[in-house]
Amino acid sequence: MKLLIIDSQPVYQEIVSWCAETKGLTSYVASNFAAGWDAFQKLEPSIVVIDSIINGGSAFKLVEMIKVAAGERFCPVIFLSSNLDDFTMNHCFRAGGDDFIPKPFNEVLFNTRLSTHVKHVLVVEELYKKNHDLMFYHKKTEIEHKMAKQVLNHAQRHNDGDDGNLQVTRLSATSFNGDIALVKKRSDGAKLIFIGDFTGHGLAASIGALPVTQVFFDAVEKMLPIENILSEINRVLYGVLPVHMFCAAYLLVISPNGEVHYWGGGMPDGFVTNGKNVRRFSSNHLPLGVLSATKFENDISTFNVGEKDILLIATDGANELKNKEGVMLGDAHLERFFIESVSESESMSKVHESLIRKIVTYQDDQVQQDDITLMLYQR
Amino acid sequence: MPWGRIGTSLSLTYEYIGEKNESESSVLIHIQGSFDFSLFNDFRESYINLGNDYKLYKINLESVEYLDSAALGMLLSMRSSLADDCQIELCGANDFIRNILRISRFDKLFEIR
Repeated sequence: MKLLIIDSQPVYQEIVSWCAETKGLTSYVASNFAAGWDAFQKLEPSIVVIDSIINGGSAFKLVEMIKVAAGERFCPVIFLSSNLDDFTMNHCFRAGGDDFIPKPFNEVLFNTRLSTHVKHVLVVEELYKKNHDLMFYHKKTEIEHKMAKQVLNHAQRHNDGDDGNLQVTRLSATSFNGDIALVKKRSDGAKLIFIGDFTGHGLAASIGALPVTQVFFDAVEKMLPIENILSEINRVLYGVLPVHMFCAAYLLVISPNGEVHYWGGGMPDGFVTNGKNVRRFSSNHLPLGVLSATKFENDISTFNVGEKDILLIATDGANELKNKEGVMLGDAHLERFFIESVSESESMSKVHESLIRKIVTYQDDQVQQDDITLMLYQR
Repeated sequence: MPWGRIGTSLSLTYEYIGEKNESESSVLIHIQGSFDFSLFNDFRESYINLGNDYKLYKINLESVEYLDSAALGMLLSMRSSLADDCQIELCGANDFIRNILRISRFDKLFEIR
């Protein structure tokens, strides 16, 4: 660590240099304004000690210049002065001084003050370094999130678009988290829908999405039974994801007559309502990618969606959405929003608009922590 | 599902009850505040070096306010790294956490008390 002493009195140059050297600092001496400014620019010292009166110019002016030149860099300036009046002291601090030691001074006192400033410099340097590292990792994570998002969007490019019967919406969180929705109509008119929510930073999603998508669209083409699709997706995810990562999901096959065959693992309850009564359906299994092929259960449940019914599946980002008071929406609240939306609206797109409006109103400009995917279906 | 926010490692403590290899012995893990990704290493440390010395692991969730999917993943890691005859109990969860454990069907892998 370098210390620069700017003082026109040789005796103080010596004392300060000596104190600095005993602390392991390298000291440099300047005797006047020009030499001091020159040395500061060349050496970039960590600490500057300066007398309030120096030859060749104003010490206050020089300290102002030093502080501007140091910019973001932390460089404490210790003023020495034989003038102990308040006016001088104030002038020192206003010029940018961090400390003030009256002359003549005791070297024990000077050493103590110097130790404190050395500690400060070390702490701030450490802080800068950590901050720099943090910025680096933050940037890196952002880039990786973008990449994961791109992979996920790519995986979903073969989806059928929304139509009058089915509408899928994603409200993306500020940081990407990893919801995936796959929708495809089979040649027999049935719709195959996969709503998944991967754990962890989008990384798991980007690894898992590609094989899931592959299996899904192959299965649509080959008209595979959904039990087989599930076993295959689970097998692939169990193999590719680390133990602590998995995918909560619903897989549904909906026939044109409203018959729903589904499997759910690790997802919040879904709802079916006509605007008055509501029925829930639950996911009864562990998420995909948790159990080995031999333990995995692919049994399917069935229910019907009536002519006036609308079905809703939402990922847990909806339930866990917080309002201004930090209170989570919760599934009872979401259920009520949904029933109200259905009873108030005549078409599904109106239900969709109304539901999103209610959710956004609840959120009330708070940061959304997690992706929300909403899937609405009517016959 | 998001990873958790950065928390403090002070929110996890653990203790060993009884002597190793005795049938009554157990490992007690206390978690406070947010059970999330910030506890990833601390949580793992609480059980990873015990070999097969303890058969019962109790995780006290009474003071846990929030649990995210990363925590579920950490529990799965624990389950898979312990021997099959080790029992893991999740104790004292509040309604919110109980509901997460329910919809994730973690009752199939853990004792929820």
